Amino acid sequence: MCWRNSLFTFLLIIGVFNNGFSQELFVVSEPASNLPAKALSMRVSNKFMSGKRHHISGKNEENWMHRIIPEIGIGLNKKLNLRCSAFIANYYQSNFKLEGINCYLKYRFFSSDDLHRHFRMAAFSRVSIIDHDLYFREINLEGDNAGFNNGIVATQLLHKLAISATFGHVYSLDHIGARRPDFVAAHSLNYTISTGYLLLPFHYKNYHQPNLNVYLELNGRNSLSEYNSNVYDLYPALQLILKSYMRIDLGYRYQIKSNVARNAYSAFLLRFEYNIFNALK
Amino acid sequence: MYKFLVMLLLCSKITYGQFTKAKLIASGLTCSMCNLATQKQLQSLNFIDSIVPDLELNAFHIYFNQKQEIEFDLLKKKVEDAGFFVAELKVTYKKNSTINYRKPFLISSTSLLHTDKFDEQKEFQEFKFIDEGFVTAKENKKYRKTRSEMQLPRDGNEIPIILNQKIYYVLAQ
Repeated sequence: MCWRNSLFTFLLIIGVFNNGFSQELFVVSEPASNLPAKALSMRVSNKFMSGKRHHISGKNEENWMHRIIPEIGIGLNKKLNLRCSAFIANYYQSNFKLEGINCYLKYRFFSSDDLHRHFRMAAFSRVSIIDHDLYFREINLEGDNAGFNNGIVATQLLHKLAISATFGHVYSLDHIGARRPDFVAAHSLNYTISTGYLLLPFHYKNYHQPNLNVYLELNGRNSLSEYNSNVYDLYPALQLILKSYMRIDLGYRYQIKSNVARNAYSAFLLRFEYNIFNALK
Repeated sequence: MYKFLVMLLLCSKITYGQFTKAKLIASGLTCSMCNLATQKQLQSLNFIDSIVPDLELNAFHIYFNQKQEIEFDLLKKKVEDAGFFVAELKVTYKKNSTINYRKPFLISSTSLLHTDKFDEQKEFQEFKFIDEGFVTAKENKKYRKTRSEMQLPRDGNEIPIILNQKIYYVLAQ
């Protein structure tokens, strides 16, 4: 398949130029590495797309839809991270409203570090509480579905290249004011393969040099029920790191394959992140 | 306690002086953001005056505040709090005076370093830490033998107990 060839070529290219440092500040998935202890990370993301919003009359209108996601991340200690976010969106109604909240806890339980490389593993747990109607069979806890997501993530850094894999189980819950219909599977799997590569700078001189990273991530979601739902998305992204504490992500979601109806088959992501190290005493 | 200390000082070769600076290399770093996070952690220590980073090598040139007590374990803790590990720590020692003892030790405030050798002619000398947590996992296997060969004499007057200090093994560079 075409995307497989592209992925292989991408991995090959970044493998050839592999030396120096490494990047794992993934745009879609979380790496096994954590925020530093006592650090505070503030993010605002916008996931926007032109798509068909489900309308109560049955008439689906083509619209630009936005999901604004403010997020706060805290390094509770060197091994434990907490991220909390809110979904403010007009995905499911024409006005913006608070469509849900999300909390993510990650515990790094294994580290094997060497100069300019490491292998790490972490376990994570996520809960999403959602307040909007349910129309779609597709399951994700990024604002569309309520539920629990538990899993593990493993990240390997090899100089300028980072490779990470996430595997998790999702248990879907009822939404506020909307029971989970049978076509939304109670159990599903969610997995990600992510690669990141540091393009610039070639040589580090100081903290003010901008860093440019390129990412390619693959996300698969499969329901474990008779209502079969399989979704495979590819996410290319560019990332700019400014002054070593600010970050701008520009990403694109591209559906490779799915057997379900969705709001849109592609979407854009714009994110700004501001980190304060040693923010907590 | 003081009697022991006096006895020990009379029969020891202990070098008194100051740790002026250190070079710390961190492992597992990914980017300048990670370097900055590590540097900010280290900067929160009151015994550090200033830090000059070498981002290409993930190295931090640390200049100590001479008025404060240096706690080497805290250097390790801060790097690990940032999410990384110490791959190398080398300290520069400025000699003030020497008293004879069969094993060379370096003393400054609450820190006690057990070294393989000490050149009495030199005013400044550099020492590399070889304890677990101050070297890479690979190097630690290699240095395990070195540390056991440098074991302290078990005949009573062990300096760490008397001065209530943690002992670190270091090699003269």
